[in-house]
Amino acid sequence: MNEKPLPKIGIIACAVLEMELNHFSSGLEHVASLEIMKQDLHNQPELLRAELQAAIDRMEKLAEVEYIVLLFGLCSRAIEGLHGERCPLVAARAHDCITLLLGDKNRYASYAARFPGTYWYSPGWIATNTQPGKVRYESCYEEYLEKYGEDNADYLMELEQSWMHEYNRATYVDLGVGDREAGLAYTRECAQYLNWDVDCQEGEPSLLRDLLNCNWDEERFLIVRPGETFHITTDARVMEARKIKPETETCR
Amino acid sequence: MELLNNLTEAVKKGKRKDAEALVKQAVEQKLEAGTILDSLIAAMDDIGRRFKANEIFVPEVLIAARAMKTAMEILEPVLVDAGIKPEYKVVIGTVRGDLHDIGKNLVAMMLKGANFEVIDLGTDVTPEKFVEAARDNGANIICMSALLTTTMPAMKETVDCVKSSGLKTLTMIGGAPVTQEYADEIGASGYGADAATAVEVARSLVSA
Ligand code: B12
Repeated sequence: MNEKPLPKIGIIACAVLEMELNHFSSGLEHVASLEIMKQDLHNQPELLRAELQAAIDRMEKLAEVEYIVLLFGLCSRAIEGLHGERCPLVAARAHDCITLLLGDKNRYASYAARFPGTYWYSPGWIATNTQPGKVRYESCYEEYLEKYGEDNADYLMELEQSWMHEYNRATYVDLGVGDREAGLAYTRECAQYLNWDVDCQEGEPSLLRDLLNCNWDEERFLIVRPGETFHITTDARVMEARKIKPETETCR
Repeated sequence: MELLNNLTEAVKKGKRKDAEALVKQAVEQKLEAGTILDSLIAAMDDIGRRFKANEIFVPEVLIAARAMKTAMEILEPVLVDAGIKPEYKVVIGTVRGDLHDIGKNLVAMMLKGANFEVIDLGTDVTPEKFVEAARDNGANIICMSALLTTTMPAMKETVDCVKSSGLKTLTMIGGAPVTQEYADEIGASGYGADAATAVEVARSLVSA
């Protein structure tokens, strides 16, 4: 190939995408560094933001890293405020990991509009979480019983079960990574326990692949330069770059 | 006062039965209903704040809210007898496509505690339904909750829908991903970061 060599990248990824990442980044020579964030951070966006910034700061100390690629979506606005001192940061325009798995933010949006009661399953979600189902029910009950007593434990379980009735569909996203049969079987079992429909959506790997291969177009990706950060847009763009301004100046 | 402090603590810890017994005692001792209510609200205030600071998690919030609700059920008739009647009405719900309702329920409870009449429309509420309920009930404020960045746009649609309906109903929004900046952007009348602030903002909206 006579093309320009790809820039060296550092990757920071959520554990929920670790298997997909390992699969699609294996053999890529321009990957200089890689860090995985714990998946349960996603329930505490401020903490996730702090941990992500710390990881960015660490990566910037590696002189060879030119760009830092985030395998995260907006994730409840956790990526707002993140910034590089030296390296631009790159992310896919996505609300969360489901876009990265489905490969298209518009596809995610139309599926969610059509089936708002969807609970998503993927190899990473199954490995890092106890997804809704029998196992989760039982382990949760034990924990609540110990912490809050029987009266409260019964109540909390009843509530959780009632939330599960708001859902009606377990959708497994298959990106051709991990054990598809086992993932699907697990999803089916959970759905049966909860009396939900099951669906399997074929994931589209090009988004993830292009993110890792520095094939960053404006439509699907956002690059924020030093002095800028990510900001939510609540439209189809999902996010935009915004200057990190001193407090005195007003935004736009 | 010891009894009321214990009541606050019981609610904070989600000890429903203790809260129930203590509130009954307080009523029997003829403590002022408004003062008893304040001790319950203090508990939920604390819960809201500590949740925001990541010191406690969702289950703690839920059991505290239940203890609060149980106590409120005993206190409500006493409040009514004391002549404390709601002056203002709000319609509240979680916006279309969104099923999260824990925060919304907390806000509803605090508004009730602050003497608002609360009409709760539940979750996945369409803009049209918000407007219809506000019209039918003559509500002063429509309160919307959203927990997903993907459902925040439904707040804008609802605000637009209120405006085009010709109603003068005010709008207040909240939920973890929502900010004051977003409220300004979509032209909502108010924003509250947590349930206690929701009450303050609602009060200032109706008295403006
Ligand atoms: C509990 C929970 C659930 C429960 C909801 C149960 C229920 N009935 O509410 C269940 C398990 C069902 C659930 C489902 C889903 N969830 Co959820 N969920 C949460 C979780 C852990 C806590 C939310 C919560 O209840 N907080 C407690 C309350 C007290 O806080 P609060 O809602 O912020 O409310 C306070 C303030 O915001 C404010 N407030 C709230 N409303 C209002 C309204 C007004 C008017 C005002 C003034 C103030 C105000 O006052 C409240 C009290 O102080 C959050 C993560 C988190 N820590 O926030 C994820 C989270 C919101 N969920 C998330 C996701 C992705 C989902 C699912 C899509 C998961 C899936 N795999 O399918 C589905 C979506 C379903 C749907 N269509 O809505 C993401 C959202 C990411 C995004 N894209 O924006 C989050 C952030 C987790 C994450 N990082 O992945 N979820």
